[in-house]
Amino acid sequence: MGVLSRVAQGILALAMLAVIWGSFLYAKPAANFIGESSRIVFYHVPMAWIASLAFLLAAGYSALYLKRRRVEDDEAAAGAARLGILFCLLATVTGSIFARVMWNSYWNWDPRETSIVLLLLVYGAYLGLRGAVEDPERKATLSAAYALIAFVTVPFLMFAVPRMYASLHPDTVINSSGKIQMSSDIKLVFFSSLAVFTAVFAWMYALDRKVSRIVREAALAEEGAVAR
Amino acid sequence: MTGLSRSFVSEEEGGTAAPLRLTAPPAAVLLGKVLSNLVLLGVVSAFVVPLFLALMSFEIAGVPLFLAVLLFGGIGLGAASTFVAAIVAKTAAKGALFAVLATPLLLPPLVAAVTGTRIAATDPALSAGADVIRLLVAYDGVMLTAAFLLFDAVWRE
Repeated sequence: MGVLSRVAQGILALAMLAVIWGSFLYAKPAANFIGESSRIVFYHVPMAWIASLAFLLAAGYSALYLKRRRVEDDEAAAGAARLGILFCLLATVTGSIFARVMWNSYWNWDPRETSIVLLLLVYGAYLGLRGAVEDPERKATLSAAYALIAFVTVPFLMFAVPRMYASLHPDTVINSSGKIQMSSDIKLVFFSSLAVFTAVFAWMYALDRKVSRIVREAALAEEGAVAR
Repeated sequence: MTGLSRSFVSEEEGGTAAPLRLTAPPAAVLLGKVLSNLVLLGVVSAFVVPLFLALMSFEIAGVPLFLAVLLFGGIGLGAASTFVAAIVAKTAAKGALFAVLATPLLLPPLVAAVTGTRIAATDPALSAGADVIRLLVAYDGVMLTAAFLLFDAVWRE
């Protein structure tokens, strides 16, 4: 491993420590929230943001696959979907903890809770489809088509349907008035947290790409050995 | 719904998919399948909806809204399930996979249609359900466009 990536990892570790310290000790609890519950915003929102980013990547690489037919693009789409599910689950869990504190119930089928379950179902179905097809090229094409058709329904889940029903969910960061309503200390920690978690995601994604490549090359080498 | 999943499976199993691939452009095949599925859905609704209304003594106050929800909801359901049927026909586990793949795609229009029906049951004005109709029409447009763009890749696979 190069010196440069070692240094980057060290900086990332220090930044993560600073964000954790800031989220609990520096930022003051926001008004209108019970007790310390507003601190979850430093973890919940980055998770949801990374999940959206991952699903965007999955759709983008799926479109690239259909255009260029390169196996790397298919692997990149699958890896992004896997990581997206992980972060989507973390967003669900952190949201559920917040719901317990604020609304006194871990789960009450709020429109937001319903739509995140559907999002998990969509990408669970995507991975299920990948598992059900043997032929690698057919698997890649069918799952790319499904990823794209699923991706166009995501805006309905995330934006249209929750807005049609009364939700207890606090205003999203990009809200209807187009302003970020946060005090300056919260804003500082929040955006640092967003940046740090995005960097962690980028690192995980790079590792995932590497693992997929090694697995593919190992399979090819094995095939070659059998043929000989 | 389960019947719709068969629309491409029968072509693949009966060996008629290959000649169809040679003679007809993909968009024509998809259009034909979507239309025939919509006709099927329409016929089923024409039987089931009056029967349900009569047997459950369920009164509709806003008939125009109810019909609009039926129409646009039906188009969305038909388009999405036809496309999923095309994907599923290429896999080994067809029936089970259809349910898994279609459910999350169909839930947004289903939820909207349920809400629209609830509004239509009490409110006679068409404008009361404008949000629902807007959402359903947007879904139909998006789903049909995406299906036509992506069908080529699935069909040729």
